[in-house]
Amino acid sequence: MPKDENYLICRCEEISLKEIKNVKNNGLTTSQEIKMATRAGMGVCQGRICRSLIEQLVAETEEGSCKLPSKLTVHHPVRPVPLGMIVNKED
Amino acid sequence: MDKDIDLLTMLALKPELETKENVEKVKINDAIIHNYFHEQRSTLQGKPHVVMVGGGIISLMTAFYLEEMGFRISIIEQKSFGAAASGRNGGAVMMMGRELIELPFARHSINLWEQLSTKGINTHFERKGHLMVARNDIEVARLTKAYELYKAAGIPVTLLNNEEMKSYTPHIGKENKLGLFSYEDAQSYPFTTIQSLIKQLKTKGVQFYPYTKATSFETNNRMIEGVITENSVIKGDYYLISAGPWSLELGKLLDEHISVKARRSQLMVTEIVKKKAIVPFFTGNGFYSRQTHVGNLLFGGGGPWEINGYDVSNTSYAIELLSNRFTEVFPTYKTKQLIRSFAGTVEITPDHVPAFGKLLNWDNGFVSAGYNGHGYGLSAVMGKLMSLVLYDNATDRQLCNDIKSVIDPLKIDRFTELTKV
Amino acid sequence: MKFDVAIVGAGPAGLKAAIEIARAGGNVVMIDDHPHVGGKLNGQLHEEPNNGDWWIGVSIAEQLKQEALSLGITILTGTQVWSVEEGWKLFISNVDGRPLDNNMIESKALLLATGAIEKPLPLPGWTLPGVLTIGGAQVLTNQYQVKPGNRVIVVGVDILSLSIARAMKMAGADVVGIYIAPKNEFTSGISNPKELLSSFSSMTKFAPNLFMRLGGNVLKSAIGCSLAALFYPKNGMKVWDIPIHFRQSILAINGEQEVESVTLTKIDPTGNAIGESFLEKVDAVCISGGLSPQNELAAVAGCEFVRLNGLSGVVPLHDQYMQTTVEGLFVAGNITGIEGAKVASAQGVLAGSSINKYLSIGNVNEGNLERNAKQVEIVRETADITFHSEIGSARNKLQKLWEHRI
Repeated sequence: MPKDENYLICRCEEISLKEIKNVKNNGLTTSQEIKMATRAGMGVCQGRICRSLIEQLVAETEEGSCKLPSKLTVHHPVRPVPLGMIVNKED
Repeated sequence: MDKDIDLLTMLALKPELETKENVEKVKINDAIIHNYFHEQRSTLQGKPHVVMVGGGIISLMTAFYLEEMGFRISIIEQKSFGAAASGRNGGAVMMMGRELIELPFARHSINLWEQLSTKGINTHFERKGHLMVARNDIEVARLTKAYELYKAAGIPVTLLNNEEMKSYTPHIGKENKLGLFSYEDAQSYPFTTIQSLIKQLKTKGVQFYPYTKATSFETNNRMIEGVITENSVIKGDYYLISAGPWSLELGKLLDEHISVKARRSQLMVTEIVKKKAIVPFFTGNGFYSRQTHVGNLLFGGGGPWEINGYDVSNTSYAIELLSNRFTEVFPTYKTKQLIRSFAGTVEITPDHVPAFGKLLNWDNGFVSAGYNGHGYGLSAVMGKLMSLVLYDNATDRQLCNDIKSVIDPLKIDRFTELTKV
Repeated sequence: MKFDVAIVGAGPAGLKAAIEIARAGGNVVMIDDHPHVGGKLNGQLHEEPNNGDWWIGVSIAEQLKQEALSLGITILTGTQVWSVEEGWKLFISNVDGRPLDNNMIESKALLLATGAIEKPLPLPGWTLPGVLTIGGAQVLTNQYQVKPGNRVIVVGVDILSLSIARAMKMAGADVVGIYIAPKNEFTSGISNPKELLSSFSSMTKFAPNLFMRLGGNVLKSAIGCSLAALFYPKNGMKVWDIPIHFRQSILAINGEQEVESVTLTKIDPTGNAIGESFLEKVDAVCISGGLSPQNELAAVAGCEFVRLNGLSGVVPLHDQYMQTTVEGLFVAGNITGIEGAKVASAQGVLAGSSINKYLSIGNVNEGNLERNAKQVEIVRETADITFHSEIGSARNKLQKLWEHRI
């Protein structure tokens, strides 16, 4: 039965499983590379939803200690914040 | 109000230091580079092998042009390709803002970038111009002088008032007094460019070695014989160090002074803005910014708060400062949501001139680094230049004095005289 | 705004920690991005298997809130922390984008009790309107008293999905069935009937009726699991009058603008589709992909992490008294590993007392901490809800990794 792989992995940027598998077939092997090549993980939620999915697709799920929780690095702001709300009034 | 200060940080040009001679040299050097590109060169025999250490845009562009000239290429990269500054920059491919000496290089680079799409490379290159704004009298004075110099140097530029700026940046605030607009400047998208270059180079037989660290070099007399990595030795005929700030350590392995210093530069990204918000590349008030082809607003800028080294974490100080500066220029963007901050590493040389040309101790060793934050835009021209320099080396062609006068100032010989970085 | 302690997350762990610190005399602020405190307590409504009592999370949350307020704890709701910096500085903003009087909070210690997020389980059609996560269904049904749909199907057989399926049925929805997750790249461990039944063997304390509890003994052996997978009724077994399927799964969610139907299939004991697929008309699909610790603030705070399957993901590396690898940064609750509200509460008390000792608030000694740590273990042992069969060994591994680090 033909597998439908058109469903989304990254909902924010609307990247499908098929697109991610395509770049994998072109030799990309890490979550960071997939992110750069497809934009998966670059949307408003910054990978909060799709990070675990991308990691499973490239098998970045090994148990053990790690300096960071994910190769898809987490940056400030961890939630979207309007530019006008960032301004520090003490300046 | 605050005392007026000059925050035209993206205007490297210092009008008081530029001379009439410098202005004339722009056109002269422009022609010299053009002629060097168009010299008759027959097909290269024997497919000499160039081994590059460093997998950023400088290497990828150099490989692109080397392949066109008939070389065989291997690229060694310690992480993944384009992982450092090449994928973490503002995407500017521009000349306005630069010092006069850089203009001939920058202008050629913009044109080469434009031609890439005809050669099968996707870049999202768009020649949408560059708008730099002055917000107080001090800035107006310097910007006006810059306008005169660029105009005299043959760069198509114009001055705009606030009303005229709005056709390029519809939401620009009223306090932005004067704009300097350069028609030919451009921007492109790093990720697409890098992926596209890699894809094409792979089909042309270029060997890629990601996650491979160069730990040492095999040498014999004045010849480099191989790059030693954890797993193997990669041998070639010519060797190029084009590893951005890491060129310093690689140089040390070969007893060379490649005086580049790593320094952090932070960038911010907003949510996608569907409407046209910022059309050209935009600079002023201590930041640079653009709207990517997808719609996100990107802004960033360096400053005295930045640290040296490879740290690419972000600071609340920079996030607040840059967001503040950005919304001072575009007050209505205060409602746009910041979704990410990130940082890149610029490589600084002591005199802000790149490190390009032959290594001192080795007859078959070369370097292309030290682009002081302009590497992304300059990558095309420096890649082409290196491909021709290597061709001329491989075919024992003498470089004529004209082109030597243009590229000799970039040689790393000068670092042994300067104080160490 | 300056405090002794800032706590991000006002769920059971955060509330208990705040109360512990305030009782000892500390000045505490709790920040939560939801409109109400209580975290996931507010959606919890289930029958406790051990004694048949009902756990009404929203009442517990209300009690804790009143206690917190009476102790003078500052509570900021509808407020998100978008970054933290050592020292500690918390950068906040209103979730609706409205201006706040203060954009920053300062504190001497920071507790992250940010709980868990739901893991997505993608399959064809999962982004159609009418598809929601099981947690979303829980909030809709139990907190806002809204049925997710009239005819609902649940994907994923686990503690949460069983409990919420029941709640939806009680709310008047026609819950067609609970189906084992489909076999794809994202469902290893939860789409293989044999493996899933085996992982249930240690979790059947929560089994809703005697039959399943007895069945738990069968599931303790590999042969038992194989037999269970093989002989599991093709049409499912009913629990609370809802069919639970280990031999049927879903292939796709269908519809033009919204959920209209799902494509189901029979599966073999290893999860592969067999035979012809068939359609079932539904208007809502609730997907349970599992929970994962919500650790982004810990990441920007710079602490080290550990990934352990038994903890359901990546957690900040911490010692037995909830201190992380960063000075003055503590964790409690599901961010340390998914264990549910009771363990989270006990961890909150422990973290609170640990912070008290760190800041010399009140009179906390090593003995107090040991007692509170022991209490966490006791709660864990007697918990009627377990999210992962390997939680015990995972906790041991975590402790060993901590000791190894020093």
